[in-house]
Amino acid sequence: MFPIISFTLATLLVGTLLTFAAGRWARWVALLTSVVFLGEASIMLLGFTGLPQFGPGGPGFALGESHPWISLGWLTINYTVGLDGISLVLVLLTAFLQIATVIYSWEESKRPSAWFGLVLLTCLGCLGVFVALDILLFFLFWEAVLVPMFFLIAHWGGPRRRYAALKFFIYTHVASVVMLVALFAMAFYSGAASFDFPALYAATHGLAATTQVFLALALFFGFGVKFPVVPFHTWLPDAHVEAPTGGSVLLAGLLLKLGGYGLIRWVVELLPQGISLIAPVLYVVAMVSIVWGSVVSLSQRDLKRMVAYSSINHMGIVLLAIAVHSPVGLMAAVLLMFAHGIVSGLLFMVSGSVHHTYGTRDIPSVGGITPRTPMLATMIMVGSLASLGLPALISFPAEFTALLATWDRLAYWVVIPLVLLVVTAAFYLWMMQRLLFGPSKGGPEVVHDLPFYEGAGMAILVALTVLYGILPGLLVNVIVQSPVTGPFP
Amino acid sequence: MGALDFLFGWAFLVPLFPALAFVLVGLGGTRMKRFEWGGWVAVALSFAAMVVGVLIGVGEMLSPGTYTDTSTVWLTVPGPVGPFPNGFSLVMGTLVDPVSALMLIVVTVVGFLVMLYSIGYMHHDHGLPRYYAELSLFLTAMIGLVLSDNLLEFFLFWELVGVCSYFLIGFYYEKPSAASAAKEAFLVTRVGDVLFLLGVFIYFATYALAGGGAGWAAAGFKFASGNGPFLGSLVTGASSPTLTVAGLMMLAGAAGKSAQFPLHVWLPDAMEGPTTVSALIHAATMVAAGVYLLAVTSLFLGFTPTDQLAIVAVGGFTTFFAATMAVVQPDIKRVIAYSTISQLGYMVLAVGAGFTMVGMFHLFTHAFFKALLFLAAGSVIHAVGTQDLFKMGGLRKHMRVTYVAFLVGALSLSGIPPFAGFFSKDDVLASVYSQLGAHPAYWPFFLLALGAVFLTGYYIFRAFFLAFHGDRPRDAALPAAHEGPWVMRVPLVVLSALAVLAGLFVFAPPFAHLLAPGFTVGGIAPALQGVALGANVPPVYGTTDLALSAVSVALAGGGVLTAWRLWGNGRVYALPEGSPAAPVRRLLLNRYYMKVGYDWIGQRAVYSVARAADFFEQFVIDGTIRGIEGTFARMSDGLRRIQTGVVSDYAAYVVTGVIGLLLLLLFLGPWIVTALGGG
Repeated sequence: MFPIISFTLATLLVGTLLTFAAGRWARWVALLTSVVFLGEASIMLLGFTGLPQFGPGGPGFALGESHPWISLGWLTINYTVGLDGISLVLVLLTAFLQIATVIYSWEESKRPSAWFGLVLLTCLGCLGVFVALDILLFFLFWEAVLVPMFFLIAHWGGPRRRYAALKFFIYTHVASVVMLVALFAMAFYSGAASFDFPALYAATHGLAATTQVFLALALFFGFGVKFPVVPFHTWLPDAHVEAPTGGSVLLAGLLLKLGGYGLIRWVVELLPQGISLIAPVLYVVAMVSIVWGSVVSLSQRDLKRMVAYSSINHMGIVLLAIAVHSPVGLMAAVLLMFAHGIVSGLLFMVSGSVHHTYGTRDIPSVGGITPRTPMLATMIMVGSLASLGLPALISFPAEFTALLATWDRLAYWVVIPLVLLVVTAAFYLWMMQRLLFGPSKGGPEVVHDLPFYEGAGMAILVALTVLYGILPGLLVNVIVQSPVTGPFP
Repeated sequence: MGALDFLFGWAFLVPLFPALAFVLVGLGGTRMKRFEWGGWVAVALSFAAMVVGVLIGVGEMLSPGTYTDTSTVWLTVPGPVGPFPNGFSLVMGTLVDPVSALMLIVVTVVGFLVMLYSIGYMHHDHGLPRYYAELSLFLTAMIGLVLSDNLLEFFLFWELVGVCSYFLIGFYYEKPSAASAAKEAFLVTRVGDVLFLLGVFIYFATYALAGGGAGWAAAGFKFASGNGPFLGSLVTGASSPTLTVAGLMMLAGAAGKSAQFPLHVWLPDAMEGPTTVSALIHAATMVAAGVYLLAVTSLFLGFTPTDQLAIVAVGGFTTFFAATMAVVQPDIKRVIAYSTISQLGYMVLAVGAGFTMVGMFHLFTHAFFKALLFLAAGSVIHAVGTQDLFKMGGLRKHMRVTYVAFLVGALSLSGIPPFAGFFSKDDVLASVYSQLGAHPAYWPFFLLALGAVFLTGYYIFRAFFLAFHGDRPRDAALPAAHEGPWVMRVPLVVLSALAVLAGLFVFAPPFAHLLAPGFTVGGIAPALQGVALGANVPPVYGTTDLALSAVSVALAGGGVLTAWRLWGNGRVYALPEGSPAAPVRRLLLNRYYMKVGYDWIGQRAVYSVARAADFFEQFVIDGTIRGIEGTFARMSDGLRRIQTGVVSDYAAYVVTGVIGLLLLLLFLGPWIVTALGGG
């Protein structure tokens, strides 16, 4: 069988290196690489006709490859990659966001070859995280994401970019270290023969409940900072506000998904007893994040900061759906991660466009932009309505199933996220009222509407929002091809 | 079998006509100058929708009591645990049954007439492609809602009509008041919507396995199966309190959409939108969706007695409560808006008392006479450019058609026989009256509804006399009034005819079939109680209790006469100083200060909490982190000082360190060895 996953990683790596070296042609190389990556992701999707049956050896993965990598006698580390429905959907998300980001930042004039190269490198890291099925390989890609993102913020960012970049790096790095230690501990305590996911799967289920709880808590801390969950979230608004638009899109769209993905792959699947026992902790953290993200959003004046806090709310719902720990909940969590990736990407793009069209992102001081930039206003509306969960747009089926799963497990506690849906609607509608409608309050009177490339980048995401909003089955049918979301025992 | 039954399977085409208009006008509207910026395209396609819609309605009349479900799976979620051992399917489909057929006729007919009227009314406005695209999208979503065959699909279209309403209320978005009203409408209804969603969860999870076979969940949670409710058979193991809560959640959703107390505040402010929008969305169709939700729930899922009392209470109280506020309004559109809230209360009241189809009948007639009143008011506004009743006057001389149309609408609304409103309102009152013996708790709400009849006659004729009677406009600056073009007059005439005749339809057997569902009204709740609610549905519509009819007509007539005494000559007078009525008037004009209260909750309470949270976020959470960071920075600052670069210093550190280690070993060494078990 053709090793499509390795081939994709390789082409993306080659494309990234070429982009760094391509000078003034960098954006074209980046675009070509993105198109190729999207093509390869589509091939994976088409070639993905279901998993090998769940067997005694562990969960099945499609298109899997495994080669010996490091052999220490007492421990084998393999280069193992593979896909199931969950990772495939997130790979698709990576491909979509990569091409949208490249197109959106087409006119980047500050060291374009480095810019596009780092964008591609970030996506490469994320792709690696989603396909890696070995602890060491997973961790290498995981860390590989941080470095390009650090430079994207630190070099192309706003006035406080150094502070924000450092804060981002330290937070996530501390979390990574805890995660790494916990992953190693899990491997060694369970006595698995290798760091491979299937080998671990066979071993970790036999761990004592106490051990599972401690490991699950440590891993939850490691992945939770990436989510981010309250109270380890304050890196996020700073990073977003200072990050360049493209950086924000990848940060919200992809990097936040790493936490959710890691939690499902390495905790829910490997430590089912541990996750069940720490579920109450997860519920509390998720509820607090949902409430906090939404309420704090309401008081933000900076459009981008508002969107950043709304991410905390949405990722709180993702965490809640994971904590519920039922097939429906996990399916909803993955669907919501995809939805949030697309929608928050769109919202960060419009924030960036508002900033460089009107010179500020301060919501109360612009006002009445609809007649001045109707295209931009339309994009803001679509993004906001999608984010507040309007049916026929992508978030609705995800939030519906997530909250249905929550009702199933927690009964009337579901009222908390439901009530916060009203608050979420409130801050988006209030933002639209002040920014889009009413008389003009500031900013230049005569402005150009969206440049073609910015509009095109957003249009890709809008099209996906509508397509998957109307036909969520296209994603759901893929996501359920996984041992934890599907009809497997 | 009727000749038109083959159409039932094609019902999904009806929403596709306006959907096509949405796409055509939305994408190419600005290039369609010859078609009045897309208006005629939207009119033509809404006409097509009306033809098919009415044919389906007629088909249902000819095949009484048939239920035709056509659906496709939207998404399938396999799930082996929880209440869904077989997973569940969510489906999108159409259900043609007596209730949806009745509603389909209303929506498509009024939709087409309003679309036609818009050509004349909106002629001078900017943004016509946007207007027609949004109105077409609304029509698509509304028809989708009407034909929904399960609660999820219902909710999906429910939200879509809500967002269309948001856009259309904010059509004149440059006006801050319009932008604010749009937001308010969305948020207030959203409160109801999330509770509705909770109700959906409860129904889905509680009855996932009910209904035989693989269960309701695997079948896509459809309302009907065959010619009856899916959950019609006795459901075991359902707890009544849970079912009551689910029913109350449906009521909350309905109260938001249908502007029932205490979620009514948004509807009067929604009058910021164009009058055509008020007629279609905020009078005839969308606001009635709440009643439709209650009707569908009561037919297919059922309410518990507690739910019914709550619904009766909300509906009955709202009839009177809203009517009092209409009494003092100076704005012609707001008078009609409060009247809409009040009339929706009657429908809710009837559904709550167990007379679902009676409520739907009132919905049917109300759609026509209320759309008529709004369009007539629109005609007035179009002519004189103001909505202030106190500036108008004497318009009957210049606007004969509008004058007659408004009069017909007002008579129908007041409940004067033989106009349509009389029959349906009388049915509502008679139905509730018949339950008073069994449910004495309904008494106060029945009396409030009866009192509202008097107020209705008064407030609508007050508006009528103020606008049309007298010699000349009270504000001399108003332009000379003139009748609108034919596209505006034709809908007025058609709706006038319907406002007269719609009530009499009930005596025509094919139509009457729609008002008699083909199965025993029921669902889960009655099954649990061992009660067949179907027994409550009166077999004959039309006047059943002559004494009660006489009382209600007398009350309505009294209201009309009072209005004539006070305002019939078209003269306006101020309340005398110190009149005891003055504080009451102020209370009513300020809408019982509920809007002020809600604004306070939103702008003060919630926003203050948000500000406080933001402060906490910045100074406590992030502050703690920065504190830790600062501690480390200071520690490293301190440690850095020992790096002097002087070799002798370093030599001193090394020597100190070695001595320290040796001392440590000397004192602790034996202890360590013992502790490790050696020695």
